[in-house]
Amino acid sequence: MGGHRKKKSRVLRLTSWGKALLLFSGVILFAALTTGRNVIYLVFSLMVSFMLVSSVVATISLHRLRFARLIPQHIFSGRPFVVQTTVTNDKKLFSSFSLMVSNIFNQRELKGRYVPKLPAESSVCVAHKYLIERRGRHTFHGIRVATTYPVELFLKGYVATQPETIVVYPRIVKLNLHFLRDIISEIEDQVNRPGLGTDLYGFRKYQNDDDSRFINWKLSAKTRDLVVTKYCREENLKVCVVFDNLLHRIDESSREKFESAVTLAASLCSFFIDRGYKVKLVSGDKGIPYGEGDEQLYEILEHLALIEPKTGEEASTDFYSPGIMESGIGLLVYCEEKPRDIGNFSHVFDGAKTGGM
Amino acid sequence: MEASRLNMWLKILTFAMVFLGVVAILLTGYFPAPQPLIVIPVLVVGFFLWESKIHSGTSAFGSAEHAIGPSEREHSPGRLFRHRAYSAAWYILTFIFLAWCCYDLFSEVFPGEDVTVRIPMTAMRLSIFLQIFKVYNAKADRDYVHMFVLSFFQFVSCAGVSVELYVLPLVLLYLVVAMWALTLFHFRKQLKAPEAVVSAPVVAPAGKGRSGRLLTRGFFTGTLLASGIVALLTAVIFISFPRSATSDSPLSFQTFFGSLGRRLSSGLSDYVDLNIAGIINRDPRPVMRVAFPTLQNPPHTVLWRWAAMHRYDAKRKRWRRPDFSYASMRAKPSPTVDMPANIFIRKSRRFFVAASDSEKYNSIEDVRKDPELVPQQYTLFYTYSKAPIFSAFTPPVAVEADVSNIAGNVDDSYYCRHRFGGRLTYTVFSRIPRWIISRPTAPRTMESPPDLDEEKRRLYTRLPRELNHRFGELAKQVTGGVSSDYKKAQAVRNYLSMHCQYSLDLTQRPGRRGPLYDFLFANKPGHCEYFASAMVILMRELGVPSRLAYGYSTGRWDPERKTFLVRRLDAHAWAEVFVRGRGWTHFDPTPVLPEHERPETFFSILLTPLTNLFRVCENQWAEGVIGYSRFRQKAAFRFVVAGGEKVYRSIKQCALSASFAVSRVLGRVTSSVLFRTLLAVGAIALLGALAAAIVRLRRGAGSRLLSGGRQPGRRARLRVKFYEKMLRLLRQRGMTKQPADTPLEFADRVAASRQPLSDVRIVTDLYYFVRFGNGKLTPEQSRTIQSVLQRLSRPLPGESGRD
Repeated sequence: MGGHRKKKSRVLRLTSWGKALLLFSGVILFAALTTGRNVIYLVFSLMVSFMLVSSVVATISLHRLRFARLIPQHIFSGRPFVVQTTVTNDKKLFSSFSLMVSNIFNQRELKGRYVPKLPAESSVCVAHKYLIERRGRHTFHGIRVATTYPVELFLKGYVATQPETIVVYPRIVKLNLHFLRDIISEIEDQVNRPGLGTDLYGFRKYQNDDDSRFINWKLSAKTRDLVVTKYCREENLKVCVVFDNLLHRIDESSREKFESAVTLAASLCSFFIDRGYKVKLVSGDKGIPYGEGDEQLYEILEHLALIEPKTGEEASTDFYSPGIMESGIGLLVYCEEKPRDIGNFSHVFDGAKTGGM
Repeated sequence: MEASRLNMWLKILTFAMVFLGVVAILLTGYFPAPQPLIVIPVLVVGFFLWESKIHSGTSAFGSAEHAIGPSEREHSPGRLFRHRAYSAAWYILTFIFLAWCCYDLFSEVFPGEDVTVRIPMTAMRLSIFLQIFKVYNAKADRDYVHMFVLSFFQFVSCAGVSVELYVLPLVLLYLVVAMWALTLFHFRKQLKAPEAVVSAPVVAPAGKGRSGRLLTRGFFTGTLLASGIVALLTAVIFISFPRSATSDSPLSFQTFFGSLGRRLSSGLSDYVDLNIAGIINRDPRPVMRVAFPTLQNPPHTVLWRWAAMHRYDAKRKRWRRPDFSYASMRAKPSPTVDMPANIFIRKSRRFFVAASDSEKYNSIEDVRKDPELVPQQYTLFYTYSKAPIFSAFTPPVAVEADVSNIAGNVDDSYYCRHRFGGRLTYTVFSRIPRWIISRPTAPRTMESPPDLDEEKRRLYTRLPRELNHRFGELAKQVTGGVSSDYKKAQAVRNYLSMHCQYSLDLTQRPGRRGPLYDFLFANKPGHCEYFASAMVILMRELGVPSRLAYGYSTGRWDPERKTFLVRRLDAHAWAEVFVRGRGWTHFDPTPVLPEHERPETFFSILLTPLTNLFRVCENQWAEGVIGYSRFRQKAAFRFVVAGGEKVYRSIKQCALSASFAVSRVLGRVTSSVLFRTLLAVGAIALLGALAAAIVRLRRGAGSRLLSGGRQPGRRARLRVKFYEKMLRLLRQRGMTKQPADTPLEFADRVAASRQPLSDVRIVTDLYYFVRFGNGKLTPEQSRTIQSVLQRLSRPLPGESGRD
């Protein structure tokens, strides 16, 4: 993130104007050689020196520039984000003119921004708005700065190496509440059962195996019968999202289904964490234990961002074991084929169909 | 605001380019007076109309500077200029003009005129029209480009056909304007792109006052500086670019291109052709410099004579020189022409004397003692393999030159063999008429020159058979009642000067009866060759021997070097009449006054210093730029190399001398005990200094290197000076930072000890920001630090003073 001015590869290209001037210089040189006229030699010298000085001025303009790039910490696939590039001119005297600043992303130059003037010992911050469609790990390789100043004869520039790897989270889609109503009610039903918590569940008559500590004496006196107070369970709302990344074969269509399933899994995790649930993600050979809050969400999203499909042999089916949900509600998201034995999962989602909810 | 300023400046500079290009074309002399008077006002009107076509109403950048507006074509509000009929009218006009140019190019060429002159002339005329077309039809950015290209083409055309001094300031001015205009156009083009960040916030350090605005004074100054560097680099490339040949030594394939745009040239030739028409090019390339070392005041008028024509071919309308008979001291004289008078005899290695005077002058000293002979020092800038020997008015008597031999011809012209293209310097001694030079001379002691023998008299009175009888009648009419040859010559000269027209632009084709007939009897103008030819013919009609002499007229007096600079445009022809008792006497019937003889006016006197300066510049331009050749290039390189070698030798010599002196002193000193003692002390001192330097280096600037970059460098230490100052002030109050304390711990300790010192924490935070965050203080932060330090330097409430 820090500023630097290390140059890796330089760019020098003649523009169309430059090519025209070079060609015309050749013509003038021919005229000078054939006529021997010193005034034509003078014009030729003027053209050559004009080109040389243009090149030097462009070089001065690019000299001693420092770059700093600020990329957002969390980037979601399909959601635009802004990368701020700060260009600092460390020259004491000369301004830099006509700078085209762009980022190199995955070895490809992105559309840049034009800075007409950057005075000496000054900085300018240019914002680039990007949109990445694919989740996963990506790299901003460097910052490319180029100029055609002063008269567009040359395109001079260089790529300042500044590799920075980013993880693009899967796309988060807005889930249909109607679709999730059953799940939510089931989860809340499960939580609203008597237990040893502190929240009041209800009152009932005393039974033989009741603990005498829970007898509500005040109410018993009023009702002239032994009444015990029942409390809710102490546990939080727990959702265990199991993402089955098993694919029989990896081709374009299955890949598409897989991505759709990832989107669904990520959206489910995001949805429940936003509602204050504890969420656990189990996928392949890795599981992220129950947790809540943004940190948990980003950990899950990072895992989903980097997840890859697995074929039959290498796939692990440990997540079908009953104890994996640890008393939480189990949601299974699969990609290709619904498993025959869905075990204790209360809901099973076909990622290919419901991914775009 | 910025956008409108940019557009305004771009418009001004573009038109400046256009005007400079057109002015350069107009100054070439191809376009007579009425044409500039039409073109310039048309362009001026175009300048004002331009506003309403391309820029008016809307900015190129839309209403806000961030927004990028639609193309200008869509914004052009002028109804007239957008109207189809308007464009169609212009295109029709262009077609008509093009057709007229083609007609003019191919129809008006007449025999004798150089067709290559008309091609660039037509091209230039067309370029001016197209420039006007663009000015009145500009709609989009590409029209700017077209105008730039056209103006550049005009400059190149100007450079191709003109060698006058005005080219230089025009080129320099054009360079500056072009740099500005092209840079602004570049900005305009880039700022219209959608990705342009027009008003990105520029953050500058405090107190620097850097402006993020584009068009500042600094921008224009910087571009001007770049233009200056371009001009310097141009000079370097111009001087050092290898020359394959010059126009003086054309290669075979250069013939056509070399003559493209060139008008009838002036200068020396082996014949004088009166049958050609066209414009005489006043070529300013220098031929020679001449000095009169013994004369206090230079003569006002000089004719630098080289040779003479004797035979006029009436059919071809051409004067010819006598058949060349090369004779020299070494070569055997030609058997057909026995002219010992034209042989120069070599008296010593560098001294030659004419055969006729060889007995009189045996050494150079004899020549120098003769008051009749005036020495003239010639420096020829460019010579062929046979370098001409010039002399003032009369043929040379003696020559002092570093050449192997000198040969002559019957027309009293002389050559010497010399390296092709190189410079040649020689001194000529000749007799100059006493009325020409202002100094009194001793009475003439020479006997009168001998009369012409019969053969020569026949040679110099021969007339072509086809000559019209009216020449004889005119000669008799002009000289009626005059008996002596001298007075006859005067009468003819006066007649021609008063009754004939002088012009260098002979655009009319000669008539059937010949150019001289037209000149004398049809009132057609002519130049010096016509006047001299007419005088020679008229004198021969009267039976007086005469010939057409040619060489150069006075040239330009260079007040700086006290020499005459003779250029090609000074080429001149005059008549030489043989007068009994006087010998060959020159008569110049051409009425044009040399510069020296023009009457001085009030303004001319007032402008004399300026004129002199201009002349110096013009001389330098002609000599240094126009006359620059590969031989001069070689000479320049030789000079540079020789200078470098000289400097190298001097340094080497100095070093040798110094080392010798030191070794001699050391040899004496080393043997003494005192020296050994001093040596030991010096060595110890040196070691001590080295140790001190290492210690200093570890603490100072080099500490970063020595400690692998962990220590702060000098700049970092300077930047946290305020923290050190604070520590010092606190130390004075009895609070010393222990080595184990971090700055924050120390600040907390200080703040806890006394409440008013809580500001120390602020300074410490800023210290962290600067020292470890590599940050720069804002003005506000600097002020805060200053105020804290000031408070620390004052006694706190409850403190009576320092402990």
